Amino acid sequence: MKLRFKTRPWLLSVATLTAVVTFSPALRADWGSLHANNLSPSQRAEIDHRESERRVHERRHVDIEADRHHAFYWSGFYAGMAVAVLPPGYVQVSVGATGYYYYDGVYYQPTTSGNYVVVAPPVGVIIPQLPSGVEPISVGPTIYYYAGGAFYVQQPTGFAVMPAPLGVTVTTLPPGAAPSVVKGVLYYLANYVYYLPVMQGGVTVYVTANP
Amino acid sequence: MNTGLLTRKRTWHNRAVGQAGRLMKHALLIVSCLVLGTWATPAQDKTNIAPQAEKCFRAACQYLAEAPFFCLTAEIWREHVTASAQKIQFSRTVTFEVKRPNRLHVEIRSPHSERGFWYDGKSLTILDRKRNLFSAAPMPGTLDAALDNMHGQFGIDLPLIDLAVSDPYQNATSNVLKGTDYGLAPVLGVDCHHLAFTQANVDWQVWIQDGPQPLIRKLVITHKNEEGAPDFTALITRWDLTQRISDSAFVFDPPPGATKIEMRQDRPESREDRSSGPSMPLTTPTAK
Repeated sequence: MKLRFKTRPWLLSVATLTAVVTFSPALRADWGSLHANNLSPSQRAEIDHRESERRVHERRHVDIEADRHHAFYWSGFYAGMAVAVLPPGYVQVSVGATGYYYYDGVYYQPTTSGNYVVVAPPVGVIIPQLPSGVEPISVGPTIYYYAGGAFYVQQPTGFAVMPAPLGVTVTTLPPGAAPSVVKGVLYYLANYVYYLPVMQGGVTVYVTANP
Repeated sequence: MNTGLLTRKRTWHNRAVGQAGRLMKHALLIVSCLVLGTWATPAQDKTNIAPQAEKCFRAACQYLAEAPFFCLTAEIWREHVTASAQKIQFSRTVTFEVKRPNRLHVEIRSPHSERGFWYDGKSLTILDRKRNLFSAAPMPGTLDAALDNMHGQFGIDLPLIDLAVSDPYQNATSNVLKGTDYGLAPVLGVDCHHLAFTQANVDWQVWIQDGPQPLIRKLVITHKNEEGAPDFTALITRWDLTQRISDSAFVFDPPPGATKIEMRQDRPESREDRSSGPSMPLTTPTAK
């Protein structure tokens, strides 16, 4: 079956607007010292002010994201991977005339050989509920939810797969991301999205980019 | 008469002024004593650390601070509280090599994450061993100043770093409200003094080896104001205060094929700068 992705103008407009006001959260990687908890009142006030913008666990648990993601269904699947049977509880979703099978962050299409192949999260698909282990990312007034290489935004009928907003920071790469050097700079490429690795808070995080 | 009355009035006035002056002097003396007392003994005024706990913890900190170099290995656990309030512990093995006053090498390892940190008195280098990526930034010339800089500029909080600071006692007890000695308890088969401390933001417990070598064997920090009160737990499985550490251990040597990446600062300005930058074209899926 041929994949058909329709890039919708309103999706592009929303994503362009949000990309303008994108910031990357100041994630904290490690914890486990009194040194960090015994800062002077002025230092503490500055950090409290910074961190009031984000959830506590975001700054605390970056280093354990790799461990945590192993518990999620989608972590074991990458685009192009073939499976013999669909998982129990899958649902059918579509974009225009193109249908997909969906389960917990993973999208499948049938093959001519009777198997199913995992495909990249199709932009425009609306799923009834978020996959497990989503990472909330604030981009201006919009909250994206990132999991399994897809960026979701809440809609009246569920959660829509959106084009990746540029300049946002995620703590882990999508499953199956591969190194890709562009103009001498190392990126990771997954689902047609480039991720630039940077060191933040003592761990590697990834910024969506257009090299 | 008038003169006498005036004289009496003056005498009364002088006496009143003299009494007021003496009262003022006494008040100033009392205030001075209070101020000096507060300055001289802040811990006693602010905190309520049991004498035995204070003595035991101070001895451990002094023993550590006087060590010119040391190595340690620890198992650490960080608790993650899920949305359903389930607590999951994620563990790492941590090794420290410290040479006072300005050398540090830390390795933090698990099957999912392996990172090395080198501070050589001039710069900090971090290596992500899993991805073979490294990043470096200049640092101040002492370990204390470098740790403050790592935290303030880059948001880096290394676990167990309290053991590497120059004054571990002051570092740990500066915000303590109460300290208690719970007596001896075993840690990995070693009898240790179990001490517990309370602060406004965290509670912490420490287990200190009994005997002539008061080594810290276990540390628990409870983030009591956070949802689910997650714990950080560290068991120090190996201490070595005798083997000299070569300076080369603190100098980063890039592995073959390692790629250098940016070390991003942890400051609001940097985010504001990015947010006001020009928009870039979007990355959208294309049909194959």
